[in-house]
Amino acid sequence: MSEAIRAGEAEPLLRLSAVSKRYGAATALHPIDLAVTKGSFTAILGPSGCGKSTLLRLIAGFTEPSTGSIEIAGRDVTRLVPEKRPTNMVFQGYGLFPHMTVAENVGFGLTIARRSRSEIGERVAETLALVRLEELAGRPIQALSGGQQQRVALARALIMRPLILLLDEPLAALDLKLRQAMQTELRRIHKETNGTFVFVTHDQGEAFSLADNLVVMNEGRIEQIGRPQDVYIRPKTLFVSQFVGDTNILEGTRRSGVVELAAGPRFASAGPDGKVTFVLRPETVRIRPAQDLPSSPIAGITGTIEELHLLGDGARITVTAPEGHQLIVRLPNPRFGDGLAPGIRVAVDWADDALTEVGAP
Amino acid sequence: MTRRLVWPLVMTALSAFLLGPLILVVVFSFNSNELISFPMGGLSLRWYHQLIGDDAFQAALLNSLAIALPTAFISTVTGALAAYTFAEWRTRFGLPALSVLGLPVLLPPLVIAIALVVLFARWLDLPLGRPAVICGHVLVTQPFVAAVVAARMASFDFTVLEAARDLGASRFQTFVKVTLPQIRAAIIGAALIAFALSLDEFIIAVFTIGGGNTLSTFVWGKIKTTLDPSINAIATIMLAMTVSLTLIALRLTRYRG
Repeated sequence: MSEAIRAGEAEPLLRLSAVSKRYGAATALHPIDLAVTKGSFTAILGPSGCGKSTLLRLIAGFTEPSTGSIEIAGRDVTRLVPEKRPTNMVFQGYGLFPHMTVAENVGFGLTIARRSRSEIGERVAETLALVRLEELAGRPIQALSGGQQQRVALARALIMRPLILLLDEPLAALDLKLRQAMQTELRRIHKETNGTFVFVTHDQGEAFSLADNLVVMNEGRIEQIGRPQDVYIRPKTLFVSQFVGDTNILEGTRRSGVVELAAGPRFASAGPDGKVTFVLRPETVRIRPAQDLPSSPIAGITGTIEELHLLGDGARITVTAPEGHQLIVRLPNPRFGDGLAPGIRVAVDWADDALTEVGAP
Repeated sequence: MTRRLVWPLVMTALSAFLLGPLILVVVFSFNSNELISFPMGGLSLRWYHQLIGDDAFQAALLNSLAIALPTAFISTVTGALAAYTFAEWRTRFGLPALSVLGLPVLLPPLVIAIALVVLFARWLDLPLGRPAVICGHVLVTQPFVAAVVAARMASFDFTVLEAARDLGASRFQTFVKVTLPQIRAAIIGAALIAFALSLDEFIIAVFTIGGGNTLSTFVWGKIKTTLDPSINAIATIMLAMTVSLTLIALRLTRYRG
């Protein structure tokens, strides 16, 4: 018994194997593999048209894959119709039933499943309490605000106790304040229901604040999968480094274990010879006025401050090196006495591990 | 000063021209006199009584209902399905397809009538009669049904269909519990419009009915022979039916679900 449970935990709850989707000659999704563990909160992040919504629709069963198979809890659901899958979805436009009240919307799935009136009543009340909409049970859908409709859509899916809750850009239609509040709510509900959530978004801030597992997609391919902080610190591709946060791209050449960046610095780095690309997060760059330099040469670059933007919670500085290379530096806490201003000559450098090599674009 | 008076005068004259005859018809239908002329006699339901006792009228009324009901049913089913399907495609082909379906409205009814007679009598070798009239009426009422339903579908959120499936409903359950309740009013309105149009229609009916009469051909026959005030009673009945049906239909279709 306990062994079976342990085996069940080792198995991912959702497994996609070589799943692809073509529409005629156009490929929406190249063959991908993806595993989602039970209890995780997975964000599928990518620009519009990257195939992330297609991926979600494949999991929900609204689209059949051209190749590959989809398994949920060890069961092959590739050819299963959406109504038979243990998944429920929160749709981007919510898709609430306009001719029903809030309670009727939330109870719809159980009504279809022919549950008893009392059970439906109980679970509707319980789920509405979970999304904090108890008072609105009898209201017609049209009388609700966008944020409230969002919660109804969430409750309507959650009441089915899905093995996997799918959310398609769930917060896209809400304004900033409401979006932040709903992010907190989603995290709380994820914890309280002990559920497995997979959501699609194009907003990296949303992905980072919600997810514990990040899938970055581009042009129908998965670029990187990992914990959000790992993806941020160690992007695998140029696309990921640029899509997820601000970045500096440094190109160079490697010859027998020594890299020489076009912008100047040389350092030891193992790998095959040839052209290389490194990325450098702006907040990992150190900066100081050039006259403070010790006489010995440093690993960094010297240049002139081109622009200095104060951002309220920090500053964004653009440094131009003599050869025209530009570097963006972010300082979390600019001190105005430290002599940084446009036109000033500065030296910038970074810790050895701040540079991350990425695959060719 | 005079310019300000011109438009109200024109409008009054137009209204009088349009509504005057209608009012006269209704008024004379309650007149006890033998002739349709002034001065009027007393108020009476004499012509209504006479109508109800008239076998020919009863047969015509029965024919009209036996045509209008199936017409409304068939054209509602086909027109609504067509409009729904075209809307579901959600492509640029939807609107052209709907326009093609609406072509019979642009054709002169006379052409449709002749075409049907040729089709039934010459090609299919079928007798003219109610089925032929129903065919013609479906052809001309279906576009109206499709237009009414298409207008409703324009604001239909198709996401609800996927939501219902996602929550465990089959295709059929989705249609019954989600789609139908939202477009029911438009469909009933469309059916009433089709019914009213069929009841009124004359040209196709007179060509394809073969023997017998519908209400409209019955009135036409009566006008040719006698100027019996009972035609005012028929006209009033038909007026009341079509106006009330259309009013109900308008109310229903204005419903935004």
